[in-house]
Amino acid sequence: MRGTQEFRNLLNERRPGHSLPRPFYTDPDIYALDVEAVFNACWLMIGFSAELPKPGSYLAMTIARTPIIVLRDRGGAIRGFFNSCRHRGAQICPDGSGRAAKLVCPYHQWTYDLEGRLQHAGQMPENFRADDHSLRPIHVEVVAGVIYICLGETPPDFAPFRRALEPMVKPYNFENAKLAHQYVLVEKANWKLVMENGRECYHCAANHPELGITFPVGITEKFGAEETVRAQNYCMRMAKHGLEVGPDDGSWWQIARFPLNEGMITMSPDGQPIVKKPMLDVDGGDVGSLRFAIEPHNFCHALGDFTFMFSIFPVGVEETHLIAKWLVHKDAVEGVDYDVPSLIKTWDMTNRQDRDLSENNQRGVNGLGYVPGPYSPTAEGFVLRFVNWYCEHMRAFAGVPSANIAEVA
Amino acid sequence: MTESMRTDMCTDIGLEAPVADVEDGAPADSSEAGIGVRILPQGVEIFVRPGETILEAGLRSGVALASSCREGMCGTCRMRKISGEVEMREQSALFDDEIEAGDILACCSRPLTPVIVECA
Repeated sequence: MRGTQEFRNLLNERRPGHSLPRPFYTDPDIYALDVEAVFNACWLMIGFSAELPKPGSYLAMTIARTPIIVLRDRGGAIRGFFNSCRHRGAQICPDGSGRAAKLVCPYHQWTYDLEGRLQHAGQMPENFRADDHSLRPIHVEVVAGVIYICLGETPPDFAPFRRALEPMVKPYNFENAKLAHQYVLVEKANWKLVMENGRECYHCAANHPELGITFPVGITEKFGAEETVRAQNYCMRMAKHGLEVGPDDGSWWQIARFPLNEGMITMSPDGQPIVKKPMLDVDGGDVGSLRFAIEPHNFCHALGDFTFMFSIFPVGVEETHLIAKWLVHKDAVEGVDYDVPSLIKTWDMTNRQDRDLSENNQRGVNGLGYVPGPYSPTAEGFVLRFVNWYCEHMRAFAGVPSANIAEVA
Repeated sequence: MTESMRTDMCTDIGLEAPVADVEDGAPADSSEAGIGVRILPQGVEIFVRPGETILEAGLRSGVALASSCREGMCGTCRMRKISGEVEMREQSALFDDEIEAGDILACCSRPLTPVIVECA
């Protein structure tokens, strides 16, 4: 499919400013290309170093069809490996989290140390070289406690993103936070529909009334004088505390700090702090939200009292898994300083509403009546960025010249 | 069949001592047959002879115990010690805090006193 005229035609068929031709959301061959070009090659956010508190702590998960493991080694460094045994390929650690002094394949007990070196392989001949059978590493970058991985041999340049993100997230002290809750939400929709939905708030006022209490879901650019003054005051107040507002961006990332609705301190059901021990102890946690996001699959909101991570992983052409995580201050005690149902309520409702919207979008797109439609240049600007980024990425992958799409920011 | 396979199988199925079913609450004991080791959750008691490891004695006694490298590397034979003392010759499959919590490797452990262990 990659080099075929059919795929080139489809890429050229896409009308600027419009959603994608149907096969991009429904075709198993294009899905396979998406996995190869995007999820096997781009930086992905999987979680936080606080989830790996001790040497041997690990996170194992599957990226599309590739099991990986990310762990803290005996020296305290975070490393990642393909989670396939160098013997006959069996998955070594089951998906999930845990702790192990050695990585032991459950099939024939080939045993690797936390640096990936093979230490035991029974009944192999004398000329067998363990050194030639270390676990294959993957690229890992940790930015002030946020873990990014890349399965590709030559990852995109990470340094500009690190330079921009590090000072913005450092004040939250993610290294010393703790995971309060996480889950996987199964969405029966193509990963691009899930992302398009997650990149706009055009749908929010009608579909996310709970989120709308705190999150600015206005669908028009109605920056009246009053709003402008409020935004200026926010920027000045943040500057006073040494907190940059941004925005900053690159082709595959965006970072910005922004104020919530008037009088709202965090993304909770009533806008009031929901964790007694703040992550960022400034003005009672009234610091708005730091949104940091990467194409192809993720956004985070860091608030004064908790941080929410949204990362999606494709499973099939019409199935996507959302991994949602909630992070709080490491000393916040469940049942004393916060309770999980209240902590997760706003984003959990939003996630489920978004799942329904994406699945409904998929049903309509599958129908014969679907023709690509126009995005709102204002309310769906981030969707345009995502879709244009995707198209340019796939054009490069397929050897098709850039479309030079004008609306790429 | 290779020589090593035959050796392994002989070890695995060479039932020299019948396994005693005992009550979980009863203490492990010793006798002329060796130092007593009670294995949970099966609730069986075996006797470890001088020079034997818990794994070797267990296999000799017909207890279904998983193992692989038998040199303390892979951790397949890991057990949790509930009571008693063992000497562990090699322990690189375990973290220090796991050893403090009572984890042992049956392939590298010899009982110094009667012991109660629980399979992982």
